[in-house]
Amino acid sequence: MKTEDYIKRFIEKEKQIEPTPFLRTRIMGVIEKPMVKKASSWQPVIATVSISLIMLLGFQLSNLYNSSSAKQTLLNINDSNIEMLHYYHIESNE
Amino acid sequence: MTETDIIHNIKNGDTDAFKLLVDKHQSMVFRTVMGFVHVKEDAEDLTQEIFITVFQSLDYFQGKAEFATWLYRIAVNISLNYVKKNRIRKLFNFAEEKLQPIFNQQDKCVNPEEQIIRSEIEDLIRKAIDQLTEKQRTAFILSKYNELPQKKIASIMQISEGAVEQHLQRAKIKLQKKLSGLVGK
Repeated sequence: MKTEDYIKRFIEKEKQIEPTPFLRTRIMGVIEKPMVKKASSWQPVIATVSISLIMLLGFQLSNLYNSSSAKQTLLNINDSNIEMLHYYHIESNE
Repeated sequence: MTETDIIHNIKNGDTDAFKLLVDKHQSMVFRTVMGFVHVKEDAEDLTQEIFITVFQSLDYFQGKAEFATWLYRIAVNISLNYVKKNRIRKLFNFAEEKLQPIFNQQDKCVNPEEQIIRSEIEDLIRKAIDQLTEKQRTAFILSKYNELPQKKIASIMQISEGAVEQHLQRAKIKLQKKLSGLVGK
C-alpha cells in the first residue's frame, strides 16, 4: 500500500465520524440562555459613571458634615490664677 | 428562505432561526475541526464553541463574503488556537486511544496484533499532519477533509490560489517524507 493510500484511508475514517445527534440541542441550549446574548457595549460606561457619581455624592456628604459641625471655642485659661499655687508651696508656708 | 434572510432575522432577535444555520453547517464545521483535533469529544466541544462565537459575532458579519467562508475562517482560527493551547493534553489522549483497542473486548478486529499495527500507523499519520505548519495544515484539512476547491480555500485563508497550491504541495511532500517508512507495513 502506498503512503498516499494510508493517508487517504486515515482521512476517510475520520470523515466518517459523526457528532452526537444532540449537538444542535446543546448549541441552542447555550445560545438561548440570557447570558449568552451579547452584552451591551454601554454597560461598562454606565457602571463607571454610576460608581463615579456615588463617590462624588459621598465626598459632598462628608464635606457638608464638616462645615455644619459645632464651632470650636478656644479658651484661654490662666492656670496660675485659678489655683493659688503659692499656698501649697511648703517653704513659704512654714 | 435564503441564508441572507435567516441571518437578517437572527440579527433582529429571532434566535430560533439560528437552528437553520446550525443544521446546514454543523457537519462541515465538525469535519474541519476533526482534521485539527482528531478526537470526537473535543471536536464536538469546539463545534459548539464555534457556533456560539458565530452567534455572538453575527453583527460583525457584513455579507461581503459568503457566510460559509466566514464560518470556515472562524472554525479554522478557533481550531488552531485550541491546538496551540492543548499540545500536552493531546499527548495523553493519543496514549489512551492507542491502548484502548488492546483492552477493548468489543473491538471488531479479531487480531490484536493487527489492531496495534493499524493503531500505530494512524498515530504516525496523525502526528505527521499535526507537524505541518499552520498554513499547510489548514490548506490540507480544507482540501482533504472538506474537499474544497483551491479557489474557495484561498478565499477562506485570504491568500492567493498559487499560495494555496504551494502549501498543499509542501504538505504532500512533508507527509510523504515523514511516512515513507509505512510502505511495506
